[in-house]
Amino acid sequence: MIFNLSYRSVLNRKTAFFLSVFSIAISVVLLLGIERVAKSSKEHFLNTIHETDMIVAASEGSIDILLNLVFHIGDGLKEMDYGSYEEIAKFEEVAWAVPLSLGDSFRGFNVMATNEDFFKHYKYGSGELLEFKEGGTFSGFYDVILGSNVAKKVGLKLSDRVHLSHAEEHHEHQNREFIVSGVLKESKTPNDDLVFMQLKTDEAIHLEWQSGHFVDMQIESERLSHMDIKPRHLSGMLLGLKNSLQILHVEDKINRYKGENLKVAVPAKALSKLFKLMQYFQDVLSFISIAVFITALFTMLSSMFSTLNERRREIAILRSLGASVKIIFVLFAAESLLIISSAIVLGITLLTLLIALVPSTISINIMPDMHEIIMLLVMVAVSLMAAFIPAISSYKQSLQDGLMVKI
Amino acid sequence: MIDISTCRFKYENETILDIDSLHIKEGEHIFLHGKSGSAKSTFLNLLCGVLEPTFGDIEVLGTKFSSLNGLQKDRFRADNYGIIFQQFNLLPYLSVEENISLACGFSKSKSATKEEIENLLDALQLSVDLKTPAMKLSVGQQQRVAAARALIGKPKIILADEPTSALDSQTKESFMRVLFNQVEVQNATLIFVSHDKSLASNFNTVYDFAKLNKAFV
Repeated sequence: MIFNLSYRSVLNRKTAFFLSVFSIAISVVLLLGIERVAKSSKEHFLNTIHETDMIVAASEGSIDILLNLVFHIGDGLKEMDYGSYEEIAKFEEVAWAVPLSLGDSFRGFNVMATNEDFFKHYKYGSGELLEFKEGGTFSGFYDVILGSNVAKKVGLKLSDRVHLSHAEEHHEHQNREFIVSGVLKESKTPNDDLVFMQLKTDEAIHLEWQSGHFVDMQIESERLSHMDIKPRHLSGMLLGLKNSLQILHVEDKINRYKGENLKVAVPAKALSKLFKLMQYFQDVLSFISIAVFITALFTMLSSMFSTLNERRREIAILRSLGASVKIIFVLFAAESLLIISSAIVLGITLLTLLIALVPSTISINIMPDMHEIIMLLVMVAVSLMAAFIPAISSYKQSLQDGLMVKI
Repeated sequence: MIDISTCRFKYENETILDIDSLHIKEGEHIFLHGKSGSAKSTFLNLLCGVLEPTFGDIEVLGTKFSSLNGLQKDRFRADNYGIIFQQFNLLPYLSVEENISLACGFSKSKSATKEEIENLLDALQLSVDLKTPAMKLSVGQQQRVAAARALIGKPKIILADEPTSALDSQTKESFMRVLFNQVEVQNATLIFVSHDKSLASNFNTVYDFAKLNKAFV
């Protein structure tokens, strides 16, 4: 009965009620939204690379190596010698090694030069390989493989012919025509935005580029494909060990490698380092959403206080009918419970709509997890306690008024 | 059934109410004539246990208020009292029926079926749909619904605080008539407070509250 009374009373003050609900709902959207985006992006990041024991490059800084070679963002790395790759690949502890070379771009997408081993050894998520939606790995010299986003955005499909450009400049390797030999399935990893070509092809087409200028050497495509060209430089390499326990040992061995100065990044370590950096931004955002929630609570309180005077009569009537002073507290608590629970439902609905409507490269969970449920319960508890402030004022007023309210 | 031998009430260190003795018998109809400022609201609050005397005690239906705690007094009021105010008796967002049955919500001994509510409204000569929201009623209609709520569940004591002051003389008369009828039918004790002496003729006992309260000078 009390809840019905509270509900009817609140409906009688619709505008104030909806304003309170809406402002708290926004803070629910912010709190949960930030939490979810942070959590999903963390999972997303941690799932980007799997079962690769180490990444080797000639640059300092494991985060730098990770950003460049796994996420394909950053300023580019100092190049390492192809010879170093060949030697390290022969280490007895090494199970597999994949060379990587970045630098070219195609209509805004990065071109990664590698070999077919990349598709055999690069794993993501809980150990999945990149899969082909159409076609397959390299067979011809001028074959390229497209990430799912590239195919979608540029509108290319299997067996289409394309021209690639060099670096950031817009000179295309006009005379070289490439053929799409495969299109990857969407993996929600940065590989969706890559164009893959073979390392030797990459090297061959750059024969014509000297210190950034195009020199037409008049080599016909057909002849170029048969030239024995050995790559000279790499951006880095992915390494899988026979036994992951030997990471430290191999790292040490590479650090002491005589040929050139090389650096090792262990993906798991580098990722968690990267995430610690991002944690700071998440903390700032969470702080903002808590501030929004507190503001929303004040909206609720001020709307409760503003109606206190007109509710004196209501409370006197209930008291005259034998309602105890406890009822006053229950009424206010019920009202705040009604506001906060409507706000949570509205907030979750808005958030779900938002997640569904806004396209995102990362998949965001819809169901609240334990941590979020605890957070929501804390919100409920805080608003219940907040309701005590107007309840106490109202209680004091009712003691003074008795049953005969003189307004 | 209501016995006061000494009852004093202090508000901010000033005695505003001081009654030597007042005895009201069951079924009596009391008219309390009170000027404004004579602390009659305080007296009514004391009489239904919302305020506690600073000194003395009030005994109602053989129960001393001093022997009850707050919760028990609230329950006692719910079970044994029906109270009508000057105006704004009803919760505007509830229907006629909901407003009346609200009286049964806080009491274990009061109960009412829809039929009983309809019969009571008939007896009070009010014909409105039970589903009508209280805010759509005229003041006269509201006072009758308030009377119905006070009478529902047949409480022993009906307290009426200036229930007719917001009514015009014609509705006032008919309101008094139906209220009296129903109080008789239920054999309830009626304590009626008003500054309007013209209403006093219907009552068997008339007190001048200004004289009853020795603190009022």
